[in-house]
Amino acid sequence: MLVGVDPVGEAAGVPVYLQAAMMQPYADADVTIDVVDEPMSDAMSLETEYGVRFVLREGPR
Amino acid sequence: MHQGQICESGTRVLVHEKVHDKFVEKMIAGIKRIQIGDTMDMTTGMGPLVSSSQRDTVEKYVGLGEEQGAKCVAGGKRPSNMSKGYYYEPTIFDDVDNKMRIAQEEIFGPVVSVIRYKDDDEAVRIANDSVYGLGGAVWSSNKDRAVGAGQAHRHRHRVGQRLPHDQPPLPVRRLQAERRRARARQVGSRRVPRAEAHPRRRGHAAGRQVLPAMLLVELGISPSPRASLRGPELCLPLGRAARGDRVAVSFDPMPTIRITPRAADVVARVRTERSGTLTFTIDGGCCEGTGAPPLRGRRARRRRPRW
Repeated sequence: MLVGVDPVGEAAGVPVYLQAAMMQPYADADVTIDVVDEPMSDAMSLETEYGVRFVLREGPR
Repeated sequence: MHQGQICESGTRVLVHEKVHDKFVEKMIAGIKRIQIGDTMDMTTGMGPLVSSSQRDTVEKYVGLGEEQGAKCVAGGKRPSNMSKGYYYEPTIFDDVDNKMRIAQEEIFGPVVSVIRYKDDDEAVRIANDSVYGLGGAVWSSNKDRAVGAGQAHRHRHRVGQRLPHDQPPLPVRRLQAERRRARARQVGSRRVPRAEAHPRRRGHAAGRQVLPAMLLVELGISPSPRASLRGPELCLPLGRAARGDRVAVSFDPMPTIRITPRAADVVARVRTERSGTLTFTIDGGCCEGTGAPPLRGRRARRRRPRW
């Protein structure tokens, strides 16, 4: 995975990194990390054990 | 650094019978040098699995391997000195028959099966005898022979011929092309009816701007400063960087990152139950099984990432 050296921001005290390929579409973005119920998620992200899934939404909520 | 939890991870090692014993001996010696621990520690060579359920899956397959007659010559258990974290020792199975489940199914963990072969034809036949086809490599001291074996592999677009001591592997093909070809196999981007699709994918199909945001800890694919392209480079969407390069990314302007209170609560819960450094990674989807959503319209054309 191609990544940068520095985080692009912070959310709940957790540094946020953006994959290099997403640099162009998200350089000027206003995004919100949200969570949705997803009991059957098979992804590798840590929150899946709690039956939820982080998602990224564009624009302020 | 991903503990085998990458779709491209090699799970079968085909070894010529003449060098088999010596090869396995060196493999065992090699994994004994791997230090298991926090992947944010520069001395660590291998981190934990992503979850307890994934470790359970790995343990189930290790049990299946032993039941079906494979010989576990290294690992095969949790590290005795690590009480916290989903660690599992790198595991080598020897005397594996290619029909065994550990050779045919995706374990997604630090388990490798060693399979003997007598000649190149048998090696190619074994390599092709799989429903998966994500990638492979041929190692040989004979360049022509290695290239020939690589071209005989059914999924040769993913096979890099590796020669000892000199050339790096052949350039990695672009991810888009790989995914397109992978659709013919049971790998990569799966196509399922919309009604059966993952809720995230249904959201994508409806055109909503919802992307995966991964919360990672101690994973090799987490974007720590030590990140390089050593292992998961086959997942690169850009395909421009050379092996071993580190690519710095600059933003001007910087994106604004917010988090909802409910999402922050989940982060707090994870933090209380996990050790190590947490990071959020925003990506277009790859080995975590998501895949980038389709973007639409003029705005989409302007903002669509190139890969």
